[in-house]
Amino acid sequence: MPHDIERNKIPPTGKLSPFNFPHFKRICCENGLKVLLVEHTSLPLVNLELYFKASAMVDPAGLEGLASLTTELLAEGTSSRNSEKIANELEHFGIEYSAYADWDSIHISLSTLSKYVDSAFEIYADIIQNPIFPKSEVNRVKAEYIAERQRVVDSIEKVVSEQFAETLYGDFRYATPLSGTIDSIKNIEQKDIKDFFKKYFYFKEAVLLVTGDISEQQIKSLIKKYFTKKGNRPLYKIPSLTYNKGMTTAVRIIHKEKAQQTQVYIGHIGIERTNPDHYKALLLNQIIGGYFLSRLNMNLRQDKGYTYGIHSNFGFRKITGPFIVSAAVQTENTTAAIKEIISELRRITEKAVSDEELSNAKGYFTGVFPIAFETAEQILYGLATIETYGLNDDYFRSFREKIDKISKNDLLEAAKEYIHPDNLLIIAAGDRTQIEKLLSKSFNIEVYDLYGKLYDES
Amino acid sequence: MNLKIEFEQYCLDNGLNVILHQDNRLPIVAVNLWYHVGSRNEKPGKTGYAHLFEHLMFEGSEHILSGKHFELIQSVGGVLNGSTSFDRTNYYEILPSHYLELGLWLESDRMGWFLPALDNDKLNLQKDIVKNERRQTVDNQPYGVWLEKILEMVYPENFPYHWPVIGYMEDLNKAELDDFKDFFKKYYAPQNASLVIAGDFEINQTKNYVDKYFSEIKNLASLPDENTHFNDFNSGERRQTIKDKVQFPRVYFAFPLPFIGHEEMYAADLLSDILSSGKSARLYRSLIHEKQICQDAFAALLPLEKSSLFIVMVTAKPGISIEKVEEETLKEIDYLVNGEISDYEIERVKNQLAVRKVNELQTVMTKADLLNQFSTYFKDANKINNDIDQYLGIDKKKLQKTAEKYLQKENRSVLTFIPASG
Repeated sequence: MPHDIERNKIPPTGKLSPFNFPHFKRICCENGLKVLLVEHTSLPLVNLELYFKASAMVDPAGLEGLASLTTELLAEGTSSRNSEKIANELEHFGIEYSAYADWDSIHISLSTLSKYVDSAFEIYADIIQNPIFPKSEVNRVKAEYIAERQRVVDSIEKVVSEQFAETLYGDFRYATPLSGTIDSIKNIEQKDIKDFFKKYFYFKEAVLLVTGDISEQQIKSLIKKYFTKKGNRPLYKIPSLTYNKGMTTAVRIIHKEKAQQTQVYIGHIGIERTNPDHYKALLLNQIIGGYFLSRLNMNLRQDKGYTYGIHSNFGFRKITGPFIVSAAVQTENTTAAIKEIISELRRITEKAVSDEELSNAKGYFTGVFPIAFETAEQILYGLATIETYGLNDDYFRSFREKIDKISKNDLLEAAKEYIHPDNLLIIAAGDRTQIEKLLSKSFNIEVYDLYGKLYDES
Repeated sequence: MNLKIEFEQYCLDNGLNVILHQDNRLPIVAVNLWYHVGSRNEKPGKTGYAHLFEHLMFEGSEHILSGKHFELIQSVGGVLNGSTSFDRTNYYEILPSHYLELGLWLESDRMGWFLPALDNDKLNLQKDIVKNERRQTVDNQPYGVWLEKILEMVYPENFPYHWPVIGYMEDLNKAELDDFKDFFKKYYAPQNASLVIAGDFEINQTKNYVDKYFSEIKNLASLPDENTHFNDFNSGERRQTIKDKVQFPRVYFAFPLPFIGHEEMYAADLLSDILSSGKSARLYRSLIHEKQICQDAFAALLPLEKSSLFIVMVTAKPGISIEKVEEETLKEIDYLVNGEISDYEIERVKNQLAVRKVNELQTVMTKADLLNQFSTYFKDANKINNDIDQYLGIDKKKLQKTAEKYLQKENRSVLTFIPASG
């Protein structure tokens, strides 16, 4: 059948099908545990995520990494199972388990075929309620953490990211990696871990997120059967933010001998996740460096070929995270790339974005929405976001509407408020013999080594 | 549990293979197009061209201006990309379902009308970007050259897995426009391609779209030469040591095996899981937990069309010699050959596999990619529905026989990284 095609014309769009973030149920349990449930029966899987509101932010000074270490060690021995038995039982059923602490919470996740949910839940509850943190396991995991810290210098991206955080946040917890430093990990003892667990792992402070092939009745009875511990409400305070406000636009070079590229980080303090302007910040970031069509990518990659990829990002946390532009750029274009990035950051604060830029970025958020909630993990992530940041239950259901209301002028105001082209922290990690001379013609520079010390040529 | 993937498959007159799989859970649709060409179709001295070509495919075609492809998809919230492997190149879009026609229009234009828009400026720009990609992902990464060194050691110079997909810097520098014109003419045609549409769509309308956009695309004169399977197993141990800017020494062991879909490939995949699928697996238990001599330990199978690779990677803990690590790792590999494999272990790896397979079915994109994989490599898309049975059918005897045949000293290449001093 011959078709009448005009290949020069963009095809018309079909009929829009509605979609929204799934409705979820809130369930309250006797022991104070809150449960959020999305039933999702298309595949025989159940995903669980328990999270506690303690985080790396409550690590005591000098014991940074304690939240991470405690969380990691939960599955390394309980009063009735040793580390090996836990691994054997979980993995024998094909159950996937993981746990980590970040800046805003502690997450303990599990994914299982629905036919094994009872066994899975029993082990899960044991890990969460009865860990004993055996000394041998504590020492082993500490040694692994320390070795991990020792090899950070292998990865130029990690080096830059950590020195960026350290310089930006000074004495604040964010300045030190989540998993601590070699010294702080060495300081942590079994007793600190046990104390941390006692203090912060209470069901009253926890939320259990559940998705998959499981009913409200089933999850309630599993909780009743296995989550038997209660406990008092913990008392703790998250510290308030102090950071280095006196930043100037100087460039810190981190010297890596014979580096094949320069890893660049440029940025400053961003905005906190709970700020109502975060919708504007999202849209603004999208246009600056959030996707392929962004100004930074179109300029530095697609126009100039300086880099394979460049990105910008607001680190949204409860307490103000950073705004960072990052790229690995060709050594000989290091200075030119840094200048282009600064000039793009300046431009966004001086003149409103075009209609096309605004509609593309809005179109992206609207259209990608259903793709972003296709899997159980993605839905859990959505639920965790609502809970972690105390957002309204209809946060995702009203998301697209909120984005749609933002105007060009709103974005210009947001850029003036949240992007600071005259107050940037700039780090460029590469071979100083290749980049220092040219950079010093345009910027004040300081040279550091991979360990964050002033570079000493001898 | 019934997890059957239903699909409809047909062929256009020009040879384009088409597979439609409906899944209406969400209003999204995946367009997934495979071309049966990869780095193994390259020649020595011209490596990396299949991948560089993939980059050029995003730079516009006769009716679509440079840059429009990304703009049209991302501005409606679509996700798009492409990837190049040894055996195939894929291109995909995941779209809100009412933009399906847009995706088909874009893919058909670069399949049929790519050459008129290709020029030297585009090639030079993408050469710069790909060279930066190589620096970022290989040359500036710790242990970054490991895979290309392994390939050079395992496969002979004239075997087409001898070089890395990203290519060598000096070959990328030499790339010229005519190379890519020839490449397109030889490989980018309907009969060397397979199109899967998976997700929320109306079937008759979609067939009509496919016909409208793809049926007038001309075919190529002849299909490319087929490479032969690798057969030169157990041809002697090879060893190489490299100094790198790393803190800890690391050793890689690589063993060539038969091609994807071969019974022994399935067995080898399970053997790699017995070694390393979790904290109850052998490498973790022995090297990390008990002896505490390794910082990480990992085994995996890379299944390819002409030969698969069984790879083991272990990194020494501070203060532990790499010789000790190698010795203890080889004991574990040798134990697969000479020792017992328990029923409990086999049950574990099969259960883990079942969970992985169910998880893969969560996204329309993965389903589309798998349908194309089975259709392209085995000419049988329905293998998506019995792939798991291939694994479940492997018994202890088969595992042991496979280990005995391929995980021997004579079949291995050993690549050691040691820290460069200073």
